[in-house]
Amino acid sequence: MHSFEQLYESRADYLFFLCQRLEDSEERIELLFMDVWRRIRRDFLQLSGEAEEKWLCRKLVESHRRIYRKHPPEEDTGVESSLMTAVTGLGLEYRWPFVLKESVDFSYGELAEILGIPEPTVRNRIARARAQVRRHLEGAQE
Amino acid sequence: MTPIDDELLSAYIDGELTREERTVVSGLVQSEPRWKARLEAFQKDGESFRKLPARELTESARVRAFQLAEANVEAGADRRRVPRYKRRWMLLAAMTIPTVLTLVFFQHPWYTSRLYLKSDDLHLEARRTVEPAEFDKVKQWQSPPLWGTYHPGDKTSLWVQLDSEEPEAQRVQLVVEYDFDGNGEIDRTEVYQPFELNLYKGWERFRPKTEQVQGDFKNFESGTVRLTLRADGVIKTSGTPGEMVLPYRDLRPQSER
Repeated sequence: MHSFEQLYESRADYLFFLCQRLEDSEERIELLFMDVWRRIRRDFLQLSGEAEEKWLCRKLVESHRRIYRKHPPEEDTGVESSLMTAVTGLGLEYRWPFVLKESVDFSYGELAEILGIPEPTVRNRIARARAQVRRHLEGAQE
Repeated sequence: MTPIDDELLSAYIDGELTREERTVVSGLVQSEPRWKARLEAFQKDGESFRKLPARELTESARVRAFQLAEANVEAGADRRRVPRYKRRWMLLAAMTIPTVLTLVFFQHPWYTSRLYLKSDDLHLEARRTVEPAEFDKVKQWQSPPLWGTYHPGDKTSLWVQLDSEEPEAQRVQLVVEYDFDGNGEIDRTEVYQPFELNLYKGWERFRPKTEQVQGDFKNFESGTVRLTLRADGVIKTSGTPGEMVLPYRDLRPQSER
């Protein structure tokens, strides 16, 4: 088993990358990144016997949920066309499966474990997320 | 496209369809231009998302996040804590549950085994204080019709609190009679050893022992208990005249059946 320091060395960049896929403002990315590592450090002993990548993503989701509750994002009033704006416009329950599917390529079964929801729900949410992103981009093009 | 169509296409992209579903969707994509366009749009969006630029983690942020995580653990600030709203509920539950259990334990009929002497009755309720009374030679307390299951092995006891200032009233004897089925015939009689009161003013409490017993305990089925106190003269009973503990666990008045 790794020490926390080893885990941090090997996974800090990976989680920073995922934080950037979940949030678009630098401030919120950093906030999420700090918080997820704080949480990972706190729960580090739980990691033994669990698949590392899935466990880290679960912590990321938990942390993101907490950040959202404690620091909700400001309302976006401008109409922006970027893909990242479309993704961050998704509700968290759609954003997590979409981002983890597209960025890490977890299977639906793995996503179900990470998010604690049934596989059919994962399938449905990813489809809805894709449709919503598409709608946003099409709306911006018109 | 309906949400169902989108779901099939999305799962098709992710390789999460069964072989049959995959064949159907593949056919639709080839034959239906709008299915094909939708599939390509989804794939393009995914690809664009994956290609979005990403910043590198700066050294300062890397060091800061690590130090913060370690510092939080060392300071004990990150101990798993129950959320405040849950703590409130837990505190409330911790205060309420023992109270409710205590009330249930002492009020529920299944535990009732005590009869309290009141003015003229043997009561099941624990409100024992009554007006002190004075009587001449004989005093009786009778219970209402009772139901209850006999529980062999449970303790029995009886105490009374009395006073007398008359020399001729010093000797007192108690008799308890049980009519378990309420037919008017006495099924069990307990005669207690006589005891003597002193001449000084002040309540005296006695726990006499049985001298003679006739008959056995049985279940109460609309039965009654009668306690008779005989003295040689005037006797006074205190505000808490006495109490009987019977080997029953669910004594209750007939009206509660």
